[in-house]
Amino acid sequence: MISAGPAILDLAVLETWGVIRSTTPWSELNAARGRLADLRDQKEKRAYDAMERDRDQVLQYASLLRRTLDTIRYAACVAVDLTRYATADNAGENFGDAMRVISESLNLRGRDEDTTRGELLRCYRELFGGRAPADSMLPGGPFPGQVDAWIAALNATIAQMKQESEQKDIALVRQGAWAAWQDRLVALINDAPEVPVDLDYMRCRMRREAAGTILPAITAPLRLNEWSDAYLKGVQRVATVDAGAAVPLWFPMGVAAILGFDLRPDVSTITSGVVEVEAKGIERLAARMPAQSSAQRGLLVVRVTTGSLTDTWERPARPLPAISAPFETFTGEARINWRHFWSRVEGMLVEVDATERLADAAKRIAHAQSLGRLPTCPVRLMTRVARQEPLPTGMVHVAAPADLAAAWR
Amino acid sequence: MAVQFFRHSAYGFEGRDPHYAPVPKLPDDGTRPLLARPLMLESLAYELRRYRAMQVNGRNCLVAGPRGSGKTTIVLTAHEEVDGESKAHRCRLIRVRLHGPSLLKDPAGFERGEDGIQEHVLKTVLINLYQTLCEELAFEYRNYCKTRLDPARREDALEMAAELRLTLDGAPDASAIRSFWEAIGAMPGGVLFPDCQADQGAAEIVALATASDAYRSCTGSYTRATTDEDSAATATELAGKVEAKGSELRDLITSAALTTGAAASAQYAGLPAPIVALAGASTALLSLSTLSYTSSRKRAKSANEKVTFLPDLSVSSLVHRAPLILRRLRQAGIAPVFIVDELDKIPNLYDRLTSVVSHLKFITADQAFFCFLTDPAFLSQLAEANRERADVVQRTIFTNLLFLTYTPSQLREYLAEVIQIQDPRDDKERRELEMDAEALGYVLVNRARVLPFELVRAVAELRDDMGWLRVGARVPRQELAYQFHLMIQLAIEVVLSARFIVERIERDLNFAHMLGDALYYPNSQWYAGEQRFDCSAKGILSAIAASTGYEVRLSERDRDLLHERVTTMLDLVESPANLKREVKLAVAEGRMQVSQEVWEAVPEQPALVVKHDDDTYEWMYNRYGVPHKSASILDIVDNLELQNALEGIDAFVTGLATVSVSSDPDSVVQAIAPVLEALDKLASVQI
Repeated sequence: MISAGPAILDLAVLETWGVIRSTTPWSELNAARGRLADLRDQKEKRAYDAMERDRDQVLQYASLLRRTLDTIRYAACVAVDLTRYATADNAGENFGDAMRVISESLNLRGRDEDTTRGELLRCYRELFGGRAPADSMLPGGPFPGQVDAWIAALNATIAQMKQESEQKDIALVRQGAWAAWQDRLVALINDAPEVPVDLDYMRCRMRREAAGTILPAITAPLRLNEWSDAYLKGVQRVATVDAGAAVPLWFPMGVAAILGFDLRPDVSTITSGVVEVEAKGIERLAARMPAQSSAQRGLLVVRVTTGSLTDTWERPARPLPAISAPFETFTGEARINWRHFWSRVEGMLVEVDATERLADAAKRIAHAQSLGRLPTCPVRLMTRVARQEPLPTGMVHVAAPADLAAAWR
Repeated sequence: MAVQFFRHSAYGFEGRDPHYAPVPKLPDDGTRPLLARPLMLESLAYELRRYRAMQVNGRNCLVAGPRGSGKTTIVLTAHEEVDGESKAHRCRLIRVRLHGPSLLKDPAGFERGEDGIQEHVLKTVLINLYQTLCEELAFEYRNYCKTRLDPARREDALEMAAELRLTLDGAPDASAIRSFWEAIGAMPGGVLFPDCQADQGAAEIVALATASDAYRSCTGSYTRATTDEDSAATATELAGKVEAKGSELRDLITSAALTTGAAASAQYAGLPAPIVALAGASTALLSLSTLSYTSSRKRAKSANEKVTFLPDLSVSSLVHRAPLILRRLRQAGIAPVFIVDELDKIPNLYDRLTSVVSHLKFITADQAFFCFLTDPAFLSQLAEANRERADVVQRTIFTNLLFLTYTPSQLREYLAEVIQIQDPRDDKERRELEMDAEALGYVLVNRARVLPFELVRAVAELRDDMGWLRVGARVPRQELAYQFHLMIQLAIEVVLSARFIVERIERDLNFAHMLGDALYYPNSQWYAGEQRFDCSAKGILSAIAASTGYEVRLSERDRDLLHERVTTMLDLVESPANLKREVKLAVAEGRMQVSQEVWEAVPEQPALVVKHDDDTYEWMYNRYGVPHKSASILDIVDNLELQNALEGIDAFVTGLATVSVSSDPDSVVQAIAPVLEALDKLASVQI
């Protein structure tokens, strides 16, 4: 049984996580309410500067609350559902975490009022399996008198949700989340509309499982490095018994496809020696990708670990596939197997840290190539600022390229 | 409230309503009462005494004071006090009122340059002097007839007195004047001081005739050629007729020609028609007589010699004749006091007045007593000129610089004198009413901004139709409108009570005036309904300039001092607790005298004024104790939509906290039990 922590739904929490968005922050509005209450209670009424502004803000806020009653209801119900998948013992902490997950997953703080409402409604309906209670709990009349009724209705809705929408088995949640991910990747590969964020993704995120954390479910803004990192996470085989931490093998293959590399010619090699479930997953994904495979060769970007200039680079466009990774992922004990890429690399962009001389970087790359840790291909050294240093013969240096195309032009 | 104004007995204590007090009625004769006795009055009276005693030949006084401060009243009061003190000086101070704008605003004269100005001013001075002199002497002549002559002659003599008044309008010559004096037997002792000197009568006639000559020169184009021989014969005949008894005189006058302009003057003086007709005739007749008629010695001389005298009666000769006239007046015991009023209505006064006074100083300062009444701007400009240069002519043109200023305590002393407690039930009530009256004094002085004229108005504002004061008991100490005035006035007086300010005010009248204007500047803004006002040094000076119509001239150090004092005063108003502490300290140190019950009546809430970051202050309440933005306040307090919104948000906040957001099944069941029960009752709420 979960401890009775302070699981509180309040306007500050709703504002913090973007469920309601007022032009006046709740803290300011609270101060305005206090001033207006003082004015009302004063025997000798004393005007103050912000009197009219306070009045307008309170009226606007009340209007906002009227407009967002349903939004709040959806958020509250979804959050309560998510708390069922929480791992902490504190009810208040779990509820706050659930609100955070909703906000981050649906990117509520970056959305307008209508879109927020629409996203939460979709999740709410998903929760009730299409049998969600009707909206418009406040048809009209004095606002204060209706609030009690609305609160009662909200409590009833939450109770109803708990009764009708039973807690799912976590394996099914995980399975549903990965299935949604495959749909999402396929949609991206095929330039189809984005697959919306699903409840299972949020439930997994609530549990901090791979399906909920490997990437944000809203993928449109993701950049080269974020996709590349997802690939790396996908191919890193971690020795663990935690099923929630495992990433299916089809996932990095899908990510590689999104980065422009078509690995389907290697499917037989990839699936050899893996469990049947993994193999079927790969085959299923391969079947859903465009019929014609691409043999396009791309770039391998070897970036610095922190503060890389590639952090702002967009996801590569089709004609020039690319994947980025820190140098360390090619060397050392934790290195991953890049063998499927070597034949697909046309050139290598190596980012050089400000503290390293170009000649030393060239020497480091050459050494890794000689050990077979990096492919043997043309290399360009990238720096954040231009440098006047002697370069080894045949080595090209490019300073502060704005994007991938500029770096390999 | 049993506060009674006892000075005017017409407003006695009615006793019906103990909360009302009578208010003094203004005098019916149109004069202003002297509300308080400023130091300047003593200075002016002192100079007038010296002048009357002929310790000085003349004085040139600049009397400066704000509009409504009672400059004219003070000068008239000083004159009345000194003139009425003693008859032993054989000197009569006569007031000659000169309208400043008429004296200095003569475009034609100014176009002619300095000579033109001088001529115009001299003419105006002499015309007014003659007219005033005529009034005074005619009045005393009539008094003489009433008090000195036996009843048998009195009736005819009084007619003679009327006749004299009308004749004087025609500016008669000496012989005509003499005939009047002789007719009532005032020739040896005169009419002004009949018991004093034997030659007073002749001195009066000489003075009057000299002034009359000047008057004729000033008011018309007039030349005269006199042949003594011819005139002597004519005069002999006429003098016999003049010496006739009153009844014969009446016949004589009736037979004379009725063609002179004196009739019009008499009509103007409001006399009955028969007297008006008489006036025209007598003027024509008596102007033919001469002063030398009864002198056998002169008559013999004129018989032997043919003398042709052509006196220079041109206006230009007034420069020389004016001192002579003034000397002859003094010889006759007549000391004119010229009061030049309304000067603050003249644009560019400083240049005009200093020019005129410096040119005519030989008269204005050396031969007569002149009072020039101006607003403080003139004094300010004079101080500025003196500061800039030590050798400016303006430095010496005025023998006395008198600044009419009242201290708040002077006006309160007056109020304390006219407000008294009547019929209190017991000592406790007496004390309470005394405190009310004291507080009311501060309130009224603040409303009046230390101007007597405004004080009268402030009192009048509190007066009802029955003449009682509309101030309830405790109201001066308990109602916001009164308390705010009390608070501001106390703050002003705390600021003024600082030792260094007291010393500075005593020795620098100009600064004192500026400081007064500056300290009451926020008050003016308050009364003008301005909520927010600029209290930077520049803002204060600009506002004073705008309200007074002249640019404030102060050194940079004084500007800063002014600014500091004003903001200190306002800060005290903003922080009433500090104000109370400062008042208490000032009382303890003897810098102020105010009862504890009065300063404790200062309210600490609500704040009257609020300081903003940009050196501006904002009045939160108007002078009636009503909050500014009261309409907005009502709009907020009575706004049903806003009340709904506030209550709705309150209910929302409270309600949300009760929502069961825990996934614990037990807590859910527990939470929804009352909810489900409530839902049964909420059939209208659709879920």
